[in-house]
Amino acid sequence: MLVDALTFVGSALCLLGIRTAEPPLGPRTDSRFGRQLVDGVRFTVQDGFLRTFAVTGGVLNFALAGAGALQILFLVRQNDTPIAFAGVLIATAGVGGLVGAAMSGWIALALGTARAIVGVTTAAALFGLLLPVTGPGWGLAFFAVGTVGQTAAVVAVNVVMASFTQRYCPS
Amino acid sequence: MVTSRVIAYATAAVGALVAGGLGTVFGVRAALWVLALSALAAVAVQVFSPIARSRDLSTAYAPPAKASPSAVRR
Repeated sequence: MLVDALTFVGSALCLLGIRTAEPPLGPRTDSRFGRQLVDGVRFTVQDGFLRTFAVTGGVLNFALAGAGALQILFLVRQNDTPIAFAGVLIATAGVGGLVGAAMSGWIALALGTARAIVGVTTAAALFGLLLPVTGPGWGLAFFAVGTVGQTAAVVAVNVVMASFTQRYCPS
Repeated sequence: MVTSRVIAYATAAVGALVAGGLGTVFGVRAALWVLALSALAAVAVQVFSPIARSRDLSTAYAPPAKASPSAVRR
């Protein structure tokens, strides 16, 4: 809670620290909000890349949020994990996220952005398959490796997809 | 960008609900198997999508992007 609050303060300070003046947006061809919404949806659905990104994000979020909802229950009730250790295990997933973010640029360069997306999404799915294999005791290693690897992969693929989208999309 | 965000947040909520339902009916471990396997659908979609056709998205599509079938560009 306290850490959360501190990170929010940090984030606010960082935002205040941005001194770059944003260039004013170009004139809108159509100022009606509803119209813009429809345009955005149509653009995303018609474009092969963006459609794939949207489906990828949707499927991964479905699986991750679902697993996230069950993980504490799964660790504590099914695998007799002490509650504090369950917390540590779940927190290590965040470390995976940092690793994934740090490695994403390198992966995209090494494999190419398209192959990086497919490869890293595959890795995310494969790491996810380790989670249900988890058992009590040393079997928790499956959970640790699975959750760290999956979080790293999902963050990395999101960074690659989001950076590409930023360059690709019309404003 | 916005459209994919909406899809992402909506599916997360659905995922959590489905997970709860599956966990209640078939047990938590079975539910985790279903969820883990469902992530493979993302890979399947990508393999049959235009992104699987090139090594790099940016170099293959940067300047001649206007020739792509997406008609709506503002």
